[in-house]
Amino acid sequence: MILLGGAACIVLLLGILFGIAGIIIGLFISFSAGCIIIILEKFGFENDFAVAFGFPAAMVMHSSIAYLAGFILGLKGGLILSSLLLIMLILAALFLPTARLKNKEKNPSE
Amino acid sequence: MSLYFWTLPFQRNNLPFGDVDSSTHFSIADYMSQTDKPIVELPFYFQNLYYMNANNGKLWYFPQYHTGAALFQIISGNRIVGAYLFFALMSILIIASIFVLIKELFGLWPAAVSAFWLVFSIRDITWYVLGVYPQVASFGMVPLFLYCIYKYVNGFLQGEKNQKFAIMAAIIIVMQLFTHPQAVFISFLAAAIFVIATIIKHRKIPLNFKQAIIPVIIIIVLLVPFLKFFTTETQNIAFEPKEIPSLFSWYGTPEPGIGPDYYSFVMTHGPLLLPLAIIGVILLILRRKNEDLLMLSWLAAFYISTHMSIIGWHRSLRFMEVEAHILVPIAVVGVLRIPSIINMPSQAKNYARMGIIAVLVVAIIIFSAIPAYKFLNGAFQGTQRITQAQLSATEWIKDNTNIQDTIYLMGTSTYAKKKWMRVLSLRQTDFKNDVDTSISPGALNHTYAVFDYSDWIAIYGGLPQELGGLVKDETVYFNQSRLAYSKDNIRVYKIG
Repeated sequence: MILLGGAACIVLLLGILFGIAGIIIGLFISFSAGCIIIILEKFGFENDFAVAFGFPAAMVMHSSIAYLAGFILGLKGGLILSSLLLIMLILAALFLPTARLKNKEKNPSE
Repeated sequence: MSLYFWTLPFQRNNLPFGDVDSSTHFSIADYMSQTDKPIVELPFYFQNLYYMNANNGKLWYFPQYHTGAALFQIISGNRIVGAYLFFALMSILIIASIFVLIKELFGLWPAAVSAFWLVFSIRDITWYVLGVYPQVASFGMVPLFLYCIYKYVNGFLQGEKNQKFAIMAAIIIVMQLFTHPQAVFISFLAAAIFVIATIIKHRKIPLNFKQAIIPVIIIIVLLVPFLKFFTTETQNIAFEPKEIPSLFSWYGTPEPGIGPDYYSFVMTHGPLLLPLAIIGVILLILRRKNEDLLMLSWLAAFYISTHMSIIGWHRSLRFMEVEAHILVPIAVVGVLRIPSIINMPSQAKNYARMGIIAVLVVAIIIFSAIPAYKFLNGAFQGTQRITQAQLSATEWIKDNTNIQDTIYLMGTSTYAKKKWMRVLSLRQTDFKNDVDTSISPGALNHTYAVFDYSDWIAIYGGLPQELGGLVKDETVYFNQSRLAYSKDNIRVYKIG
């Protein structure tokens, strides 16, 4: 919920400041960083770290895949491909047990 | 809040701005988004320019940063806002990353106050506004790397298996390398000093070399597709005895290319930071817990990197950006630790700490936030940046001339803006670096000549006397029947 709230604030602020372009970018970064954040939390990383890491990691991932694929598909095609890969990753991650929960099961005193 | 402040320069005025290399960083992204194709070599309109020398005409470093900006342009459908939002979002990374690191090391309040202070760091804002975007973003990832190193080392010393932090550190190093390689030096140096310090303190090597195998494999796998982007630029390293005195100067040997205020600690950071940072450093040295050692290692890495001129490596100008990243949290941690070293009841210590936080926040607003707001809000106003008239002219050139056409530009007020006119046109554009007082003979060897008087008329309400020769040459050498574009005091002539 906090993540969704944060994403909504970013979309709203960018929308107020930059109109449609801001809203689209706000939604894109919220989706991309959100996926990385959820995946990291599955591996037991703390929220704060996941949030700070999520945006740059998502951008480097998108740009690396879009750049390499772009020679064949064009940058737009590369971006679609990297977004699809991110969706596949998040779907796979959703089936993983959360590492922090696993730790708690092992050590209930935590 | 940081997003609001750092986007101030283009909230009301969406036109491109920046100095130094801003137009070239913009252009690499822009050329890719305009053509929808990735590039390995610099855009064709950079040929014959010194940019081609740095890496034999190839991109200067890895393509990820500029590709990211291109993707933002594509997604947003806005050439200017898309790129600048990417630059701003990547440049404010330091604020989130410093919060993460300092919260882990010293708790919530030092982290929150440090991050708040860094929103208004003039040192970082200067580089961002001038347009050295990839460097700002890459330095912003240093705290994330140090966070992983600290978690790994600390966990190892306590007998925990924390390999995931080693893996994450490897990924962050690659991300830094992909963004701008210079910050990797600070990350490695700070981590190396920290590891040495913990070995000395704990008499134990705080890492398992077997656990380094997977991170190294990850680094190799991520880098392999981009190996051709390792720059061929080399630096001659040799001991320079004449630089020995610079070791006793905080900023080492000043380098040309930036105003003297940049080398003034108080002008850059205000009067607050230095005394508090000194208190912080003293308290860190006295306590020397692992978290204190990490901060001191980072500070030592900063000192070393700004004094590399001793071995002939003159890059202190750029490394000085790290200064606020390290001194601000040290200052905040130091001042908030004062109540705990005074003998008084714990309740009183809490009240004292809250009082210090309140006073510090007010002082940050007065000494840092207000100057930073003025700086950001007033960045590249009016004709200091590309105007709508100039953007329209460049878009006309982009849309109505052929790729092989060459342009000669005269009249635009500054060198930086002439560079911007070149990259926004996406055409090979030549110009004189100084003010054009008459036509350059080379102008007639191009396909088009551009006379841009718009800045001068906007500033003075008419043309200054020194441009009289240029106006006269325009009427002598150019036939009005060859006028291809004339709007807002910018005229484009077809030659030949």
